[in-house]
Amino acid sequence: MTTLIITQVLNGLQFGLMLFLIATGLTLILGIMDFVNLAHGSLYMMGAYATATLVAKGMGFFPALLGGVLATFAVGVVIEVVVVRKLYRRDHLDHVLATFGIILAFNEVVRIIWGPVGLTFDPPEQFADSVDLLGFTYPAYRLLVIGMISLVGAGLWWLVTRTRIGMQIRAGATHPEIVSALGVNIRALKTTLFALGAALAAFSGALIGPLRSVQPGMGEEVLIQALVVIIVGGIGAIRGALVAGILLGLLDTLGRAFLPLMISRFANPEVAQAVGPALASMMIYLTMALVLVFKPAGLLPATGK
Amino acid sequence: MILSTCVLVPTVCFWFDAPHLVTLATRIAILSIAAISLNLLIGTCGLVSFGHGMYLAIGAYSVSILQTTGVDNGFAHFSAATVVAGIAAALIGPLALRTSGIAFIMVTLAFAQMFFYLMISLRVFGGDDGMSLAGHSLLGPLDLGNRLGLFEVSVLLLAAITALSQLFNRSTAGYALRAARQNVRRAESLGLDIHRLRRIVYVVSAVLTADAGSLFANLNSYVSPSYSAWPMSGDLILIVVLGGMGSVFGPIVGAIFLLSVESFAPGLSEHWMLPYGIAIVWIVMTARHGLLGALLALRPAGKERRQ
Repeated sequence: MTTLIITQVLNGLQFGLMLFLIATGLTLILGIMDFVNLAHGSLYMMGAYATATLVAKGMGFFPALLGGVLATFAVGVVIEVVVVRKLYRRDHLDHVLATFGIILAFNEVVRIIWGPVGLTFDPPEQFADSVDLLGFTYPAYRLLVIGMISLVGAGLWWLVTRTRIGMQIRAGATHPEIVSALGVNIRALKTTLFALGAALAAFSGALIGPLRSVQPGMGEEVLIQALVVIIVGGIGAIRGALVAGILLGLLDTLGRAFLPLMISRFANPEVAQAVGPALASMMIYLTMALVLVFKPAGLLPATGK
Repeated sequence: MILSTCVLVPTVCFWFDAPHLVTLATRIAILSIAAISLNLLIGTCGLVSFGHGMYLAIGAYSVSILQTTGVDNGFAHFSAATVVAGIAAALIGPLALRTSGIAFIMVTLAFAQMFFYLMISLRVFGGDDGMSLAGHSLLGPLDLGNRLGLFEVSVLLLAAITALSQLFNRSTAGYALRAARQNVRRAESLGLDIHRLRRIVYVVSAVLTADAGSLFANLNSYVSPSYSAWPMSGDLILIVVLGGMGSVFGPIVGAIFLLSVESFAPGLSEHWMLPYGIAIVWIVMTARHGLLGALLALRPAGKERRQ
């Protein structure tokens, strides 16, 4: 039982960090550029497909991952320049509609190039097995995911709070005219930030690839979950996204694993089998509703705005 | 215009021997009802509900669940839909309306998703397989299983709701809510109880959507939890915004466009979603007030050319 609990906690942590990574790109673009990017899930999908293709071409996992992220970064630049740039001053609903159109187009492009059937690809060889962790085994690849996301998260925090470009991004969010009067190219800065969000989405998509199948529309479910994370965490807050991501990841994973067991204690197993998973799926939405009703700005709202 | 639609559309459809066009027209009418109800929130109040699929589902399940207990009286179905959706909205509304903007979008989504998972877990009502309707709603002598009858009822209801919604927008309450969309504090300082008005509009919008849901169940002869899931709610928003949320007729234009494309485009090309997606992006970038706005903008331009 203890082993099961530890395994599930690790799974929850890994899922939560994954949600965090997808949500950060979204929350940066929403919080700093005030743009609602529903196509974030499509960029996640692009990252997964690009990486899967490079792996299939015989590239190693890590070079393929880098290639996938860079390719999606480029796609992000193109989308920003062609569409998104012209919509910053518009209503949020216009953002939603336009990026919804992008989702449809991307899903179809993927279907045309790679076909409607999903792809799968293997984790890197040295991480393909399970490792022994103090008496129980756990897949090495999932540990790798936890480690890599922690690294990227720390790097992102450093980039936004400790570097010159991060300072420009934060200043540009609140006072774009002043920042551009000081000689910073705000347009280029926004393009970079949007593409950075795309790269983060692609990185998560590529990492999740070996765990789930890579298929058209894989971005949508994740998008909704990432939106829930940024709302619970507070819009624009990286720290909030981290806390909310881990909280919701643990709630969801542990709920799925243990709620059916708990319900079967006082109801017949058939009911528990039906009610348990549904209740577990409701957990993240229930949490969001409670947070919004009692703390509408989110758990750890971004400060300084 | 209503009468001509009621007579003309079916006549044309039978002329071309295409009964599926009646189904399409009925679909358009029913989803227009739901979209106009949703537009009371989006257009008038500036509140985007991403959870109206739930009310559609409540209306649909009211029909199918009553059918399994042997009640086939349509008035009972619609009353049940109205009462249940009204109670649900009266409970959810005050909670959701504590927020606005993106938070409101997400709270309404949360409730709809919870209802979706609730219906999936209830095996008695079909679980995730949904339920097939045992029969159709009987409105007195009129059987809503009859394609033509269902079409006429839907169009009449659509006309009634369009007229009511137009009247509402021109009423004091309509003006008050639109003023509050610009600035809530200023509107409230004029002595308007915006919060109460919004709660009422939320309930009315939910109830009307549920009635559309009851019609929808009769059209599809099938009810599924997916009515409450986010893609359905998203489609309703899409219909409103694409058509143009500034006008009562915008959602109808949106529904005609969206559902016609969805119904005819797959026959033209397997990959119709690609040009369709690009078209949506293009519409957003060029037409500021939705499709209806773009259509109306064509008119004065034409006049100028004649002069």
